[in-house]
Amino acid sequence: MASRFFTLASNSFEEVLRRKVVYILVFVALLLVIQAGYGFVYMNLAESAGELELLSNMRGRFVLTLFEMIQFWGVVLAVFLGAVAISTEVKNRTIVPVLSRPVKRSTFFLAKWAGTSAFLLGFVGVGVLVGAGIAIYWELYPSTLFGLGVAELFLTVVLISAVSIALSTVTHPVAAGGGAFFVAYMGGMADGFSQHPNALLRGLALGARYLSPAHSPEPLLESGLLKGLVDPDYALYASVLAENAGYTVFTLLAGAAVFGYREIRIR
Amino acid sequence: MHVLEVEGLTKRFRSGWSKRMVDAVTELRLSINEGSVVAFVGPNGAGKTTTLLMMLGFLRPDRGTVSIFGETAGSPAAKRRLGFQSEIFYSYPFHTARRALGFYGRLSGMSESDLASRVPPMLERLGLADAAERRVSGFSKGMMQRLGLAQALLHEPELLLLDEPTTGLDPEGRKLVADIIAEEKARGRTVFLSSHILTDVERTCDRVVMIRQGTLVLDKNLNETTQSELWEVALSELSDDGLRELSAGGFSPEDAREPLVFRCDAERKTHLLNRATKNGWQIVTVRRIAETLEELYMKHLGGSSDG
Repeated sequence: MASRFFTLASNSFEEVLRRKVVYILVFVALLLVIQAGYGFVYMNLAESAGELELLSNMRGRFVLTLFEMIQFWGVVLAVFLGAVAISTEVKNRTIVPVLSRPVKRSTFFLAKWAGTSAFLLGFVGVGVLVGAGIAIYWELYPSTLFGLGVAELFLTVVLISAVSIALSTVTHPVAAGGGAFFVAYMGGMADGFSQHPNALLRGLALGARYLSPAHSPEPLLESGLLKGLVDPDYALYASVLAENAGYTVFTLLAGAAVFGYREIRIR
Repeated sequence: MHVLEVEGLTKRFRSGWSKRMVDAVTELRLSINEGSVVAFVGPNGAGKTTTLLMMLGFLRPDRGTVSIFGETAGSPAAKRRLGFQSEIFYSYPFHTARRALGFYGRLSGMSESDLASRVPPMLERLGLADAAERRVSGFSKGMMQRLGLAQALLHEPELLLLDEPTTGLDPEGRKLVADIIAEEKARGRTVFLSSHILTDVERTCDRVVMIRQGTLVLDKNLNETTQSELWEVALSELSDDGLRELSAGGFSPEDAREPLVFRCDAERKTHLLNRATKNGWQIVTVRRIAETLEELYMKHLGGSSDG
């Protein structure tokens, strides 16, 4: 069982590595990061003027932007790779020689997710290392909250890939990707309607909040990098992470159950 | 216990924009004994692949059951003992032939030492030894089919399910497949071969199951089928009255040229010869002819292009 899981997961990881479209997405992400480097001009001006506090703040903002981009592109990749992980196998019929062997469908499903997530964690991990390297070079010393923010970043891509792959077991990959993207930002969107005078909208917002992954009450990366909190509630932040880890596990179990039951139509 | 048992298997699909229900397989019943090589024959769209996909658990029957070695089809316990080759074999393009076999072998539960001892001879057996380190993305269709057969055989399954294994193969490749099936049979393995290439079936199988529009139309021992009691009697010097008499008795010649050739079973052959002797017609030839699988196919499935 473990051996089959590892065989499938490592194959899935390599499959993702060989997807050309992934490199196009990574390239676009890099271009946007470079484009954000226009701020260096202002940093040089601030340094020349001896505005050290302003300089530190600008550097902090740049590193924060970098992490936010990593998060956004991590989510984009998670949505895309999760949605196509199984549908590509069915479309290319590579699923046939795999599932005609004594491989449980749940093992296949979880291994596909694990291989995809390993790539996503690697992508985010490289981004975090680069961002941390820049922060250290600029002598920015973030607080513990920043560490929690990075953990949240890793967990977000893993969670979204789980949602995307799970939705792809019941719907077309495009709809699965769209659904996963919606789930990723549903909580934030719902917040705007939580006090709406219309009861229906309020109800929908409440439902969306419960269905969406948990959100930390503080932007952990920003708070950890730019502004120290007077009384950070670490237990609360940790419980948000734990809740999202549970959300991921539940989503995966549900996806594996559905994939185990549904028919696989090979055309 | 039967190796493979299909009981009242039924599968319907929704088809087209109107979502009309179409019968893919209807009340299919068959059982296969250990060590036999059974051909599953039918035109395109007859329901052969649908049946195989139900045997593998990809599709769920609407009614009926499939059991393999007494286990529910699709369960890991059933799949542990079978090897499957699909009509067109697809593998991950970044795999080499050797790596593909290692990958599928591991999924079948083979140990690393088993893989080390079985993969090289298997590549040799299927004529892929020279291409062992080549990526499958550069393989021809024939090479992919050989690799597909190799992955089905590698873990030495007791039951082989082969879906059109000679598709895309040249005559040498087709002979290789026939030889492999014969070798597997000699080893006591059971083979279920879905095909509509009748020469392959005649060459390799000892039983034929014919299916048309998802329904079983024939299940016969192939020896019995191809050597059925069909006789050809050629007569000459028949009068018009004699011809009318024969026609009234249900005898009609193959064509109107002399000698007149009649085809009939053994009982009617005796009847015909008795009349010829009584009426003084000349008996030109009497010979037993074998009804070929192709004739049988045309008789049961002719003009039924389902696909």
